[in-house]
Amino acid sequence: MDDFQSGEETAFVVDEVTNIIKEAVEGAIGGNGYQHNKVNQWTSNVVEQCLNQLTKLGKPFKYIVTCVIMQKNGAGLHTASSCFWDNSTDGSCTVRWENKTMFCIVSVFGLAI
Amino acid sequence: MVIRRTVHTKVDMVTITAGPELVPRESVATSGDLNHHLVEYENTYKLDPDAVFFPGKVKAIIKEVLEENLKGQTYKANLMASRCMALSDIIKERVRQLEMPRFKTVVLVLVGENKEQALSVASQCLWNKETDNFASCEYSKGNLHVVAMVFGVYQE
Repeated sequence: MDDFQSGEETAFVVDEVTNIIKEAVEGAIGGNGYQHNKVNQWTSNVVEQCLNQLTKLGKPFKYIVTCVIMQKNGAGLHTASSCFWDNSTDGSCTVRWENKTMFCIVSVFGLAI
Repeated sequence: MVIRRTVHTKVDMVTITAGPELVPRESVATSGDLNHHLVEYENTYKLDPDAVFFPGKVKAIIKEVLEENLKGQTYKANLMASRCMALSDIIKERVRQLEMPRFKTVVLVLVGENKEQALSVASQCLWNKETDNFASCEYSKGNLHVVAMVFGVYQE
């Protein structure tokens, strides 16, 4: 059986996803400083915006998007992921963003259908 | 009925009894490393998955792993980086043992220090809600705060 889809059109392109994440974070948080009552809204806006743009790529992927926002006060934070998937088709992308008052870490996992 | 042989079930099992620090990070071989020749599959004529991702079972696994491995621990920046990676590997291997054929697994672990700061985590997925699911569990003790999430995605 021939698979007529190949190459860039159906691959998980990390650069492309990185740009989408950066735009989503800038769009949702922008120049704001940490505001406690806004954080929940920001995290959900970031994941929603990312997912919106990812669907617009029109690729045969299932996506998992997570966003973490932490207030800066000198506390440490580590994040790690382990995946069981097909290395040749699936991919992930993590972007760390920060300003003076908070950290924002966004991870996107793309799993080919 | 012909059963589809999925290559990605060929995984070298990691011995996880040796303690989290000893688990080599790159110890799991995936299909890409093992088989360079192309495998041709026969049709399975399967429309539904054979197994179901049970969030309850997975949550119990996460909770058990977190409690086993973090008992009496406090947050130490230099130790937690490797501990965090080890945790995600252990959880992945334990979830794999549930034997859900054709399920891909993504494990995400956050290990943070609790200094009375705020931490907000959100996730959203684009997937088939009939087959795919997730489980998450938190662990908090002293100045250590851990959040672990597991996503199970069926390969259609």
